[in-house]
Amino acid sequence: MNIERFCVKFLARPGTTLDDAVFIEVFHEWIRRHTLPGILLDVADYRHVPDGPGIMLITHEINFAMDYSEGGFGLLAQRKLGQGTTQQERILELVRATVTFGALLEADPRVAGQLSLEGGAFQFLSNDRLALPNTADGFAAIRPDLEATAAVIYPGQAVSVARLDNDPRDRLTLVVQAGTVDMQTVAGAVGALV
Amino acid sequence: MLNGNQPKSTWKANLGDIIPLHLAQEIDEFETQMELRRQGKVDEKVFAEMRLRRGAYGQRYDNGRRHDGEKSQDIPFPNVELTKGPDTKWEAPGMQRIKIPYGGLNGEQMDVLADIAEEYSDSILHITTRQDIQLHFISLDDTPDMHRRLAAVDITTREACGNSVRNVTACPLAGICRDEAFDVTGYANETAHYFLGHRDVQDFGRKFKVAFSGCAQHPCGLTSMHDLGLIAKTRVVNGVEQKGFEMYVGGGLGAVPHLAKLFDEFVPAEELLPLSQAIARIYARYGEKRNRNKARIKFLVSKLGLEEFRRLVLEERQTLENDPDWTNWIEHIESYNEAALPEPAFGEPIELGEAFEQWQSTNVYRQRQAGFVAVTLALPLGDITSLQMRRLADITRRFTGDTARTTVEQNILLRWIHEADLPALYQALREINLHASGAQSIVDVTACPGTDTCKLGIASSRGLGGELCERLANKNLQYNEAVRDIRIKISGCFNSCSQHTVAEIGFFGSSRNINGFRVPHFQVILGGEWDNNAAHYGQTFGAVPSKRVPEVVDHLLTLYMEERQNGEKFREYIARRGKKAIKAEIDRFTSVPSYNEDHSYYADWADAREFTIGDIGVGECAGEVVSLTDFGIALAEGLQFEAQVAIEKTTDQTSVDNAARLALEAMVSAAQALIKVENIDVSNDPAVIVDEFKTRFYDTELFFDPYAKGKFAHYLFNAYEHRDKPKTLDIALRLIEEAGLFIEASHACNERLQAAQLIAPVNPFTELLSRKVTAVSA
Repeated sequence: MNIERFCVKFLARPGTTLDDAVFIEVFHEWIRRHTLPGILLDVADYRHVPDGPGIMLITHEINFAMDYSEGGFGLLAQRKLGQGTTQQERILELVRATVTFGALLEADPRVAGQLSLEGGAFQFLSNDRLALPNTADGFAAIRPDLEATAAVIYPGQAVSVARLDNDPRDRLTLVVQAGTVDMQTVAGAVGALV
Repeated sequence: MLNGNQPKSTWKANLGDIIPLHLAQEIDEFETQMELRRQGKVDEKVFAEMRLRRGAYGQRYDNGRRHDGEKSQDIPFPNVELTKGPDTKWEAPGMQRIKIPYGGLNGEQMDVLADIAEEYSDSILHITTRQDIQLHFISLDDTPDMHRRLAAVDITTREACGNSVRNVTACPLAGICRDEAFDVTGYANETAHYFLGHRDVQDFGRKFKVAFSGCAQHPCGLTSMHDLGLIAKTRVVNGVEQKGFEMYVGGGLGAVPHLAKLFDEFVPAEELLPLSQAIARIYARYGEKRNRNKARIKFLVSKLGLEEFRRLVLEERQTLENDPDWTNWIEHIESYNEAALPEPAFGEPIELGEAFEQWQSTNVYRQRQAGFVAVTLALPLGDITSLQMRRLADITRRFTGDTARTTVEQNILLRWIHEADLPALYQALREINLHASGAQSIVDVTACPGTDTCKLGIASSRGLGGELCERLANKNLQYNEAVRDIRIKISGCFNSCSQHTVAEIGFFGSSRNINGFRVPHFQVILGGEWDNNAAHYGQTFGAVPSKRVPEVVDHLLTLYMEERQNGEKFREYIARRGKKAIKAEIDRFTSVPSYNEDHSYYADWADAREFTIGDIGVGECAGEVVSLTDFGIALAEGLQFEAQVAIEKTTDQTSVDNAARLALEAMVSAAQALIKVENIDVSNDPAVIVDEFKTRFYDTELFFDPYAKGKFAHYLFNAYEHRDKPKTLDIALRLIEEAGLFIEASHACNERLQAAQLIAPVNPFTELLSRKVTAVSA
């Protein structure tokens, strides 16, 4: 399999008490300080959209959103372009970037204690209907890459990779499930920059 | 089985048999031009116009710089030397505008729009005030495939931007309206397709907007503010009913709004296209080409006068060779008739409670066809997610004859709903969170993209819009009979993209310098008329700090509810109270606490960055001189206000002359204030002021707006040059608008000077020129 456009989403654990407005302040600061790798561009505020992408940090390579769309509130990372010659490298790179983002966010003093992301499971969404459609063939094509990548992300853990039963017109979505794991632990496993 | 070893599939190959040949060729040509531009074989200006004619716009920060709240930083885009237009980086994200003629969509199109929003954008579709759809944060490299996928469902982005015929809009109630003369849907669509790529619309100096309305009294078509406005009419000739249009030309909002003028009381349907074509040819031939600020057709109509313009058009019409495409569609016009599903989709009564009742009271329109209703989906600030759009496509198929329409109030309308299906429809909409009440009411605030993504935005229109929506809805004002029909529209700059000029309460973004800090402000526009196809434009009442706008709205609404007489409308109330009284009320909200006291005033809504950190540190020495300039500009604002008051109650010739004189004095006063930055002893003689302003600020380009360039200075020069010519009411109104914009430009110029920290004691002009910092406006 060989696709460039895909997303991963880590859901927030229950009990988030944060006012989303704080993300605006944090993300602008990250842009100013070049906190994340990549070319950081801008902050988009979609708080007014119900079940929408909330507050987004737009970068040249990835759109990061504190997202409320299907599946619940969480950190959605939409890969637009990036590094990696194999699909497994590309998935791992996006997971690494997302975990870096999540761990930094959880640790930010304005957020700490009010947001906890579940690192032990994530969704993989194909964002290229032509190359990887929402079909059984599409699932079969990407599953080995995702299983191999999950073994790196969750070393020594039992991991399941299942296809979400969604509308065929929606994006092919796979749920990668390990145990309960903190973002910081995942960050360590994937060599995140935190 | 999919695997990585297969040849890479492409949308071009996959959709090759589906896309109409001419559309496929256009997209291929654009892709070729992109490649040539990458190779440096197409000039960047030429490519920019090509790109715009494919609807691919630039977006904020695409010059590769962004102010982070402390300083302006370079954005290290890859391939930074490659541009897609002057000072526009190829790799920078852009905006894609998608034309939706008359706002008409079907389920298949909605599905594809959802898909491309997900894959190429940020999963948000934005409905515009001209029934288009916009996607943001798009990579130019993705546009050919995106265009192919749209073309496969009969959507084109061609001429969505650029100097051509833009989206043809129409009343979304066409065909179901209780008051229309007839259904204008087909006429709008045929007009759109006739002019799409037509040779006679390729050489305009500026864009050309067309709108259709089924009646004169409702606002849906907004024909009065369009370059070409058409209102459906019928007449009986020899016992036979004829369909035709009342035709208007030369309307437009923008910086200086013009109400369209009646060109013809009745243009038979057969003459709609040939006469429109003649108008297009006259516009292309005689319209301004070099100065884009004077290039809209409204300026040509004003310059020639309506009679001469009409004579030229009618003369041109006679020269046109017959074109079968003018009329060959008329016999099939009935094919545009929409129909409902034969039976209700569900129909069983469901108990849904008060929320459903409230939703019905604000979002449901009873069609003229008994038993059917149209339902407006109130999209917050015009936004809908890709998932919602896909689910809405299903709802459209389930409950209607597979049609929906976008509206100029940034909403979506579902038509031909069986009344018995309303509870089931409400439930379905509730499942995807599109069941908000208050459509087309005071809580349904309209906002242009503003500083979120627009390169021209000065203040955060969407940030303010979101804040007002929430506050007003929390007060349930959408159910308050007294105020529910008041429209609030917010633009990020003076360019009226939110149509703030025709709202009862409008705002446009500006900024002010407060003790060396820049503070986001909004100009308050009151008294516009949304009804009657936007027949009256509002007037400015001065600028208030952005963070105090909610207080202003609250105060105005409270006053109106307490003081209105005999059910008078908001516009009538403003007129009765008078400009001076209302301005005094608004002036109560112009103060700004010091930075140390409350620095939240120094940032915009939904933006943590300080609005202008570059102003911090202006020396005390500069402060004194600047204060003098600020003071002078404030005097100019007062004169401009007096000009408005002069023709508020009476419009006899004396009042008109007085208003025009005051408007010119306001501009001269602002110019004089700027000159005082260097020459505190500047003369009071207007001739000397104009001359000195030209030398110091125009010839040096210090006064130039980064985008409008010298446009605002020309307002002064023209007004002064023609100061002794007779004045009409139209001229006086235009001068007042121009004076307001000249004053805004003076504020901006003053702030640029301060941003560069070049106010005395150094000579700002010598220094500024040597450092070439005229573009310090971020």
